[in-house]
Amino acid sequence: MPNYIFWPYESLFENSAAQGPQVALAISFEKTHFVVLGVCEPQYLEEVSIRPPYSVVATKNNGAEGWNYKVADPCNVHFRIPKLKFMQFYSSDPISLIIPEKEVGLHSSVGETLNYSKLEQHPRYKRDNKKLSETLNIINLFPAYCKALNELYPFIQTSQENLRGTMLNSVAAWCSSTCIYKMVAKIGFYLTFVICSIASLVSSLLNYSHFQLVNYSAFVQQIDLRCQQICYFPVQYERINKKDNIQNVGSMVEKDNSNSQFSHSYMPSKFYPDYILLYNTIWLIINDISFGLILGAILIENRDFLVSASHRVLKFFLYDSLKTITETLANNPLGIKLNAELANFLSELFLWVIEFSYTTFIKRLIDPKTLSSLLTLTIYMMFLVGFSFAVSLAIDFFAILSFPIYVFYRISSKLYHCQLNIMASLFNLFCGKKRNVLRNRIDHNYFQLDQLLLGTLLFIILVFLTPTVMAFYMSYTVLRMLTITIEIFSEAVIALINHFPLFALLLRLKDPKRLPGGISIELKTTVSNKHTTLELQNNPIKFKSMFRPYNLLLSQMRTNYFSFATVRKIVRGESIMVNRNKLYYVLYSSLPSKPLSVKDLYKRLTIQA
Amino acid sequence: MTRSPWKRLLWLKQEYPDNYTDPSFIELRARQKAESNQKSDRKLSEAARAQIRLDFISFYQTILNTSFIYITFTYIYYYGFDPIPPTIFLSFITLIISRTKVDPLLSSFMDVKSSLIITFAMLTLSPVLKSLSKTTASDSIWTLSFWLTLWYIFVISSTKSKDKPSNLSTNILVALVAVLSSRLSTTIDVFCFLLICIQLNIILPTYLSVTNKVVPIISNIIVYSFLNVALGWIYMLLIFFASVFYITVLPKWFIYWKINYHKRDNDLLSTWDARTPILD
Repeated sequence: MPNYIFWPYESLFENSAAQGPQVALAISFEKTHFVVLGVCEPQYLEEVSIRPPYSVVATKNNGAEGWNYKVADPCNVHFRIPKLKFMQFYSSDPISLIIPEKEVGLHSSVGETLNYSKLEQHPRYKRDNKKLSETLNIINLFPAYCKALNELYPFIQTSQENLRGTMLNSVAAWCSSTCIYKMVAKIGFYLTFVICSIASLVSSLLNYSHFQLVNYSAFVQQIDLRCQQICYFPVQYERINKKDNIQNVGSMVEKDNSNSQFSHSYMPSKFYPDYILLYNTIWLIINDISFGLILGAILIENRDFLVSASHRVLKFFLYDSLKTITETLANNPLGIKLNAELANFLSELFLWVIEFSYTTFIKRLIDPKTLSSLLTLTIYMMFLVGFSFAVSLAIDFFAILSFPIYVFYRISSKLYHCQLNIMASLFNLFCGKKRNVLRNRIDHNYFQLDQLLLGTLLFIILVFLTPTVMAFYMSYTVLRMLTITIEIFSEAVIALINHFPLFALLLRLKDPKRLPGGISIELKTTVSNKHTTLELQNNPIKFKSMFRPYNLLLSQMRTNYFSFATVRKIVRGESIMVNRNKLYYVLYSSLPSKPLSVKDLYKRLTIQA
Repeated sequence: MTRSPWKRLLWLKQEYPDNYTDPSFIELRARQKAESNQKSDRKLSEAARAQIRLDFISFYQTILNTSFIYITFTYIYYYGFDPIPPTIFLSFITLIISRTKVDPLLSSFMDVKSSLIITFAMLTLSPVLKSLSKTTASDSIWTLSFWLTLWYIFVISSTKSKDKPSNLSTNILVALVAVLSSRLSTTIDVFCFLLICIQLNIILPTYLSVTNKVVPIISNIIVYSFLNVALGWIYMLLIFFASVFYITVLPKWFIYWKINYHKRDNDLLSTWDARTPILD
């Protein structure tokens, strides 16, 4: 295996041929490759000895073109120094925009990772990969290592990124030492604490384990989401402000710490996902509110039209059409001759429910006056807390209005399901068979004449009544599916507003190096060198992986509502109910599954302060 | 070491190799080979001939019995006669016969409790049955009843045991009667129709054996006189000659075919393999 030497792209190493003989110094730990940090003239090294982890990897004679390597079988890898200030870094694994505790559930569904994980188990791959990732850690902290080397051997030329404080930094440092700042910080701290504890309390109330309100209402779910986000803000902020540890690298190298694993926990790149997630959330909230302002203004202008139109549409959909359908079902729909007695009975039952629900609450709710005041409330809510709240309120309103349809669906599905079950067991009796529970199979059985007669008569009756029940069941199922579809689409709008990876997307456009999706090493052919020269490149993260939670949500929705399994469920008369919270749980990828408790929050905040 | 005798059950774990061939199988094979060699002088015994004739007659009897459903139906639906007197009469006969023939097997089959249950169930359900397929067109009902009748005759003539009617045939009969009863106008008609059909086709055949001489004559007389009234004497005579031909000529023809043309290709399979799956 060749010895890989990682060279930064620097003028320092390329153009200095005229200046005389040079020596290249590199750092390497036990489990890493060589990373060249700087050059110096050979006469300095006569006085000082270079101690590990630093070593001389190559020398260059006066006026010579290439380097003479001190290590056997060298192989160059060139890389661009990642700028710490701009949060660029190399990573062999794609950056995760999902917090680690949520990753487990998401990964398991991908089938193609099986082969990949098998490959990962291979010892050689494991060793090489580990070595490479440790080297990448050094490269990511390249300026810090350079600085450490420079402090140790001041004569060495290194590439210096300006880490030291600028004018602005010093002003900030002066500000933070004043007592006004301290007071403001104190007030800010307690304010944050109070807000967070209120949010945490609200969230835990809404998620009360005996009666989870979040499962029933989209509006409550939206409140819960906002509360959880507020609770998580301080934690995220605290994490991304742990930047001071970069300075520690020098002392670590001093200690001759061959165990470079230690440095890994201090990698600043570990907190970049948090940075992205925090600003993504903040941006989305601001977006939400600005959408609310725009749409609210539009809605206010067209208020009267909107009220009258929605009144007409709702009345048509929830009262007139429902009544027409139910009445049609009683009178031989589409020329299909149903059982007149049962059809009349069922249609009268449903008509009674329609009339009752209409007079008790629907009539009052879709009254133009109520609608107008409700719209006003919604618009004010849009202005204050955002568009998503208004949409979720509309969903809840629609869910209440479509409650009769839900009831019809449940009643008819129960009827249909019971009938199917009874018919299945009576069919066994019809064939002279009986289910053997002990052996879990169907056996022959000689029935008594009275059993046979009664069973067969009932079976025949049920068979003849099936078309009637099925007609009711199917028409109400179609209505129910329609309302579900409307709800799903509005909830999809909310999901887009709440969880769209906007910040990450723009970051990907602006600076792909901040969102690495792995690395690629390519052969460089242009340089005429006797040694192989490779180039280390950063692959930006794929758009597809940014939207993975959405993909998952879509596939879940498909299996829940629009799949063959659903059709089978409908045919069998089983109810198609989905836990709303569970469905949208996938999208909560940037939040911990349990909001931080008040005590933990206080602890964390006081440590930070 | 003695092994337990080999059993012809696949699901049993036995101490025999997979390709084990039982001696009884080889014996059977040899016997059948010997039989097929002396094909020319094959003969049917007198008992077998009698059995064939009996089978033909019992099938004819079954069709006669089934036709009673339609006779009763026409009596009530087409001619509009009052169904109560024949129902009472038939129930009386059934009661007398069931009292005179005390059979331990049949006493469990028809006791007071079950007859009460049947009667009340039919009383309760007959209004439902009457309105069940009221909206369905009559053509559909006739078609449905035709296919149900074919199915019923097929099932009842292919069941082996004669002492007990099979469950499936009873059920098909009830289904047939229930389908037809939606054409009747009153609840009492429906109830009487149900009761007559069940008595004639389910209860009475179990008491009266095929060898009984009186009952077939009575049923023949009833059927042919009904045909005479309903279809006219030409059709009646045609059907009569067809059935005479069926009872006298066809069995002889069948025996002739069985002796001379019947191939025994499937004999090995049909004798060696179990007819019904052995599960226990």
